[in-house]
Amino acid sequence: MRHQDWSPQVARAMHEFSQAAPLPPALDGSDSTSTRPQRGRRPVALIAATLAVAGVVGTVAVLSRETTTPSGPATVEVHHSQYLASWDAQLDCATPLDNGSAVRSVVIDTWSDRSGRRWRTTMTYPDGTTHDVILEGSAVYPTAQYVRGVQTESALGCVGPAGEPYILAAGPGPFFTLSMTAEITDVERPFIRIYSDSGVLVEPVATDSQGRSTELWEQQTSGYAAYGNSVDLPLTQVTRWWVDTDESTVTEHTFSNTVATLGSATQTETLVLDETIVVSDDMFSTVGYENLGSTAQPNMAEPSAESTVLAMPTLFDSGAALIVWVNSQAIPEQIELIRSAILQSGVVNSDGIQYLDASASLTEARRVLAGDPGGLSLLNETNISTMFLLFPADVSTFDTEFWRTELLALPMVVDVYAPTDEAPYLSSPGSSTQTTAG
Amino acid sequence: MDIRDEELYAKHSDELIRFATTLVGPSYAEDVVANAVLSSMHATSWPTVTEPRAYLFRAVLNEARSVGRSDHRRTRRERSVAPHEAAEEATISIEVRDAMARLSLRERSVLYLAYWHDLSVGEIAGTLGLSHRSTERALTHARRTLEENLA
Repeated sequence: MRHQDWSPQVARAMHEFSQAAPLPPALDGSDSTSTRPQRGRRPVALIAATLAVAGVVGTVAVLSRETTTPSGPATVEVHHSQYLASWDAQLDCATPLDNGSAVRSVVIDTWSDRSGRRWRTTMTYPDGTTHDVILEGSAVYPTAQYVRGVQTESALGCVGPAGEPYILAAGPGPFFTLSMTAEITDVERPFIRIYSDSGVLVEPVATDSQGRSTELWEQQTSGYAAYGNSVDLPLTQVTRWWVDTDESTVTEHTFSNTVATLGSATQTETLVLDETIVVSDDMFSTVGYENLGSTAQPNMAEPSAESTVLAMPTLFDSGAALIVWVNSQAIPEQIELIRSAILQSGVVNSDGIQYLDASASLTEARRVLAGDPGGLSLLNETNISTMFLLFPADVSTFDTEFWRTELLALPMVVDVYAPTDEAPYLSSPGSSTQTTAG
Repeated sequence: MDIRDEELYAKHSDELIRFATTLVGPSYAEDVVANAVLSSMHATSWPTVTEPRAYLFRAVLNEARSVGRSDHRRTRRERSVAPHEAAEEATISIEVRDAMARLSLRERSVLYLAYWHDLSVGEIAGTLGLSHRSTERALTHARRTLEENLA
C-alpha cells in the first residue's frame, strides 16, 4: 500500500520537523557535514485525503487470551505476563545426570497487582500440574508468601568420576518478572541488579527468538567448576537479556554454563504474552495455600551513632568476619546474583569475598560446628547451604550486626553467621522463592 | 571507523539525522545519531550485517527510546516552565510539536519512512523489525492523530 495522498496536516508535520533537522554530526572528528548537499525531498501533494483504511483507525485495545472482565464488584487491574521457560544442554560426558522424570519446559504466568502490592505466579508443567506462589508486600522481599502445588525442577549436567554432580542448568524456580523495575520500590532498588547493572550493551540492534526488535545485553563470567578434591574445570557463564527499549521490557533472558570437557547447558525464559487485564480479586486468594512467612525487608537506614564505636570483632579461623549461608537449592545464577548484591552493598570489595561450594562448605562447617556434633550430623553435600566468606578490608571499623541485617535481606540467603554466634541449625533449605532480575 | 563505514555514514547520515529529528526533535537528533552509529559500528555483529541501512535506522530508533526515557522528566519540567517558548526548535510550530508529541516513537518512525521514503507497510516492517499488522496500525493511528490535532 503506497500513500500517495497525504493530508496537509501530515505533510505539514513532516516538513516542519524535517526542516528543523540539524546537520549530521561529524564522527571521528571529521567535518563531514560542511558540504552537505541540498536535500532531495519527495514532492508532496498538499491536498486533503480520505483514509482508505478509515474503518480500522483508532487505538486498538490490547486483546487478551482467555480474559474476561468479571461482572462482580471484586475485580482488580493487573499486569499479566506469560513466559515460556525451557532448558537444554549439549553434554559430552560419560554419565549424564539422571533426568528421567525431569521436564524441559514450563509455562509461567505472572500477575502483578502493583497498587495492591500483590504478585502471583503459576507454573504449568507439561503434564498439566501446577505450582502457585503468591507474594504480598514486595516481589522480592515479601511480607507474606504462600505456595500451592508441587514444584518440579530439572537438572542438567554430568556425574563426575567420584560420583559428584556437576549441575550445569537447573530449575526453574518460580519467578515473577523479567522486568524488575516496574515491580520494585526505591528502597528495594539498591539491592536488585537489573540487566543494565550487570550486563553491557553488546548489540544495539538485535532480535529475540520471537523476532522482536530489541537491544541485546550480556554478562560473561569466567572461573572454575570445582567439586571437592576433583580437578577444577574451566567454566564460562553467560547471561543475556533481550530488551525492548520501547516498552522497557526484557523479552527474553538466557543463562548458559559452559564447562570444559563436559559441555554446556542453557536456561531460557521467553516473554510470550504481556498485557494489562482486569481479573477477579480471587486471583490473589490464599485459601488452600501454605503460608511460608516473610522475607526480611532490607534495612537502608544508616548505622546508629552508637554503633560507630566498635569493639574489634573476633574472626573465624579462616579469617572471615561473616559467613553468608546460601539456600542449598540455589542455582548458579542465583549465587552470582547474591555475590553481585554483596559486592554492591559495599560490605567488602572484590578481594574480600570467597564462595565455597557444597563440598567446601561441608568442610568449613565441620570446623565451624565442631562443638555441635548433633547439628553437624544432619549435614551432607546435598542439603548443606553453601556459603560466602566475607573478609572486610578493615575489621576495626566493621559493623557486624549492621551488615548481618543487611545481608539477611538478600533473596536465597538463609542465615548470616558471625564468629560470636551460637552454632545455628544449617540444614534447613529455607525458602525456594526465586526472582529473576531483569 | 574504516573506509567502508565512513562511506556508509556519508551516504546515510542525512536521512538518519532527519529521521532522528522526527523522533526526538532537533535538540537531541545529533546525539542520537552519533550514539547509534558509533555503537552499531562497534558491535561485534556489525561486519556481518547485510542490510546496514535498515540496521542503522533501527539503531537510531532504539537510541531515541533511551533518550525518551532519560529526558522525560526534564522535558516535562522545561515545558511547564516555558510552554510557549519554541527555543531552538524555531522552525517547528508549537501545535505541530504538540501533535507529534502525541505519537509514540514507533508511530513517528513508521510515518517518517512512509512519508519521506515512500515505503510500503511491508518494507517499513522489514526495516524496523516490526510485524506487518503493528506497522499498519501505527501508520493509521499516526495519520489520524495528526489530522485530528492539526485540523
